[in-house]
Amino acid sequence: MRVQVKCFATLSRYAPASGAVDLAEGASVADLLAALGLAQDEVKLIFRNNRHCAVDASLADGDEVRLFPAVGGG
Amino acid sequence: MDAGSIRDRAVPDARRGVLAIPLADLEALGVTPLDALACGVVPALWVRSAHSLNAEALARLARARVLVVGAGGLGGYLLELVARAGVGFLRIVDGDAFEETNMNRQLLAEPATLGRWKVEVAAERLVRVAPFCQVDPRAVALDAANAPSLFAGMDLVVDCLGGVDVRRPLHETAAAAGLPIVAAAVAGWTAVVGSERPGMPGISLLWQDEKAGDAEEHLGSLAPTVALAASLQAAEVVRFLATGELSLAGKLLHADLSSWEFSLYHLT
Repeated sequence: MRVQVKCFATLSRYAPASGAVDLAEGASVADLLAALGLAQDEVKLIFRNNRHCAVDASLADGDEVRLFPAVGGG
Repeated sequence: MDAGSIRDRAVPDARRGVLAIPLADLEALGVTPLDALACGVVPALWVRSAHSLNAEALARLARARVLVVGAGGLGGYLLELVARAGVGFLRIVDGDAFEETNMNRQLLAEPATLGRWKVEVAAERLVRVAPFCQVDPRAVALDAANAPSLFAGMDLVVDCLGGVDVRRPLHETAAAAGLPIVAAAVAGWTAVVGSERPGMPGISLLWQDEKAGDAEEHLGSLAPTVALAASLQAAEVVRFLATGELSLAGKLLHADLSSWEFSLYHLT
């Protein structure tokens, strides 16, 4: 299956060039992060199809995942 | 209050369909904007607001008491916007003085204000631009000891802090005080804005790990991003005070000014 991924702020360097990642059926967000080479503790908010989800949430073909680090400047 | 005197001095603004009274006449009569609004007369300085914020909404703004924590990048712009919109009371809390490195983005940082308390400089400006706004500057850092007195009597808290570690304690304190909170944060070209009601998780999920590295430390803080974030935050503040609607509660509005992506995410 293929999921669309965007990585924001300091995580942008982990964004796949094509904007998509191919994963095995039944893969979770944690599997996606591993495929991106992204440590779980760098990701502070995960959204799947615009809704907040946990790192162990499972993904489906066509899902859109958005990843944020801690953004705190003011 | 003499409703007849207020109406006598009011000038019909036919284009906008309101009765307006100039600032000088309010002062001459010794009446407040609330006195005028109660007579259906809009202070002239808010005539251009009156289509979107009617007399009732303007009166709610004039009666509102707001605690703004942080008077730096976000706070400098936010205070300007909400004071001009007509918020009647602003308590501003910040224990810092202006530094030269603030000048790339902070509205109130200028050579003449370097070394001065941010809250004092903010109060001086607000008195000039928003004569009916009562300002209560507190040059202290918010902490567990002073929080109860600083939160007392407020209707809303605005998180204009900088840094990850200081955010969660503020949001927890607001929730414990039963107050809604509107927050924003930036890093480089990234801005995020969101609100929380007591007991309802929201944008502070971003700051649960107080030891997390702040993206701002790597990407810095830029004037367009800070001003945009503060402006979005100010819109939420004004709309909440005027209508009671906290549109961004449980949500995260994200703006990426490098890709022009604006998205609204659901946190609950």
